[in-house]
Amino acid sequence: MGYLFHVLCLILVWATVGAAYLPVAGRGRIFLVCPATFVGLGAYCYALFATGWRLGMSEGVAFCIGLCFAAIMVAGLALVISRFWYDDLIVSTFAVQMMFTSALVNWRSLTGGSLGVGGFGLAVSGYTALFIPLALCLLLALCHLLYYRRYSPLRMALSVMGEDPVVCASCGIPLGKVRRLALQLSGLIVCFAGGVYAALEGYLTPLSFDLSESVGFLCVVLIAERSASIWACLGGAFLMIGTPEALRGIGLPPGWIGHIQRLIFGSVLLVWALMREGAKKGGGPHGPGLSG
Amino acid sequence: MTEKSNQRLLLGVDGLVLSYGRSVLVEDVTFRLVPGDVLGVVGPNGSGKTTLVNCLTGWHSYEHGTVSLLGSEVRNLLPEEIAQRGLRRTFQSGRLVRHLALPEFMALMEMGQSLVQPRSLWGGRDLEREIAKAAKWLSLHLPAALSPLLSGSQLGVLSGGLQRFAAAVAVIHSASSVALLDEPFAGLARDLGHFLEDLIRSARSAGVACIVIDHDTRLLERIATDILRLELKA
Repeated sequence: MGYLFHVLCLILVWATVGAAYLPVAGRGRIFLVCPATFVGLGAYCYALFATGWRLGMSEGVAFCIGLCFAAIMVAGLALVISRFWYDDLIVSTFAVQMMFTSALVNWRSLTGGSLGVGGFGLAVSGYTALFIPLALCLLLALCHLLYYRRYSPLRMALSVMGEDPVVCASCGIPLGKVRRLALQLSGLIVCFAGGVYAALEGYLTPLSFDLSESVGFLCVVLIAERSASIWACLGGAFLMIGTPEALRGIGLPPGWIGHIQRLIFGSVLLVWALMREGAKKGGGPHGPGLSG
Repeated sequence: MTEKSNQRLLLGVDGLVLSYGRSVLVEDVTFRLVPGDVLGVVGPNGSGKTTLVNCLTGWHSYEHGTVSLLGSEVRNLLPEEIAQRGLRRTFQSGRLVRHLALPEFMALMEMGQSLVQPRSLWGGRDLEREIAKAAKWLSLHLPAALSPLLSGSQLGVLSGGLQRFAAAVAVIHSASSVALLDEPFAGLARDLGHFLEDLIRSARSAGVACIVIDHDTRLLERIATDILRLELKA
C-alpha cells in the first residue's frame, strides 16, 4: 500500500508539473528547458528550512516558510526568463538548468553536495499522508482554473501569442505581461509541487533536479500536447513514472533502468518532432516578421 | 481646414521619414485625421505604404518627424500600447488568429489588455460576454448568409477572401480612434467589397477615422475624404 501510495503521489507530482507547463510551452510556445529547476527550488528551499535553517520551527511552518522563500526566487527567475524569446529562451533556460545543478552539487555546505540532504518530510502513513495527494490535486485544480477552461483569459492570451505574437500585440494584448504572468504562475505551481515532492521523499539529491529530469518533465508535456488536457498530463505522468517501475518489476538490473528511461525520453522527443504539424513540409508557426 | 482644426485630432503625422541604409522608404509624409475622416493611401508597389502602416503602429521606428495619436507621441510606445489607444490594423496578408472564430477574435481585440488583468484571470465571464456581444453585432451588421459562416467557423478554414474580410470587420469593430486597413479589398468578391465599404462608412459615422490602403484609385475616391499618393523613391 505504501509503495502504491508513493507511486501515485509521484504520478501526481509529474502530472502537476506537466499541467502547469503544457499551456506555457504548448500554447504560448515559451519552451523552457529548466522545469526541474523550478521543482528543485521548491523542494530544496523547504528541505533547507526544515533541516539547517529550522530555527525551532515545526515541520509545517518550515514547509510554508520554505515555499514562500522559493516563491520569491521563482518569481524573480521567471521575470528574467520572460525577457528571452525563441532560441535565446532555450539557450538561457539551458544555462539556468546547468547553473542550478552545478550549485546543488558544488555548494556542499548548503545543499550537502551530491550526497544530498535528508532528515525531513511528512510521514507517509496516517492522516498526515493525505496532505500530499490533496495538495497536489489542489494544484491541479488551480491549473484547470487558470489554463484549461475553454474561455480562460490566460489560456486565450497564450494561444494567440503562441500562434502569432504580431497579431497578439496588434490586438492590444501586452506580450511581456502575458509571458511574465504565465511563467510566474506556472513557476509557482511547479515550485509548490516540488515542495510537496520533498515532503513525500524526505531525502533530496541533485540528481532529482538535473537536465535529465527536465527532459522527463518536458516529455510529459509533449505526450499531453495533442489533447491539451489535465487527463492527458496524468496519462503522460503515468507512462513516465510507470515504465521504470514496470521495468523494475520484471527484474531488470537497477543500472539498466536509468539507461532505458533515457532511451524512452529521447524516443518521446523524436516521435513528437516527427509527428508535429508541418514537420514533413518544413512548415512551422508564424514568426515575428511583418512581411507576407 | 478651419473646420478640421476645430475638431479633436485623432492622428497627426508630420514630416515622417524612414530610411534603410541609403534607400528612403517613407519620405516626408504629413496628414491629420479627425473623427469621421477616411484617408485613402495609394501608390505603386514599393512606395512605402505598408512601411508607413508599420511606423504608425510602432513596428518600425522612424527617424524624423512626429506621429501623435490622441495627443501622445507614439515614438516610444510599444505596438500593444498603440493598439490600446484605439489604433487597430489589418495586415496585407490577411494575418489573423486562425484557430479562433470571428466573434472570439473580435472579443479578444475588444478586451485587449484587460484580458490579462489579475482580476479577470480567474474569471472568464467577461470574455464570454464579449463573445456573445460580438456575435450579436455580426448578426446585426452582416448579411444573413454571411453571419453564420463567419460566426461558426475557425478563421483558418475560411477562404483567403473571407479571412481578409473577417480581419477588416474585427478591426473596424474594435478600433475606437483609428482603423488602419492594409489593402482590405484585395481578392474580395464584389458583394463583400460593397459590405466592407458600408462598414467603413458606418465607422465614419461612429466617429472613427480610417486609413485605407489600396491600388484602386477609383474605389478610394468613392470612400475616402482625402487621398495620400506615395511615389516610388529613386
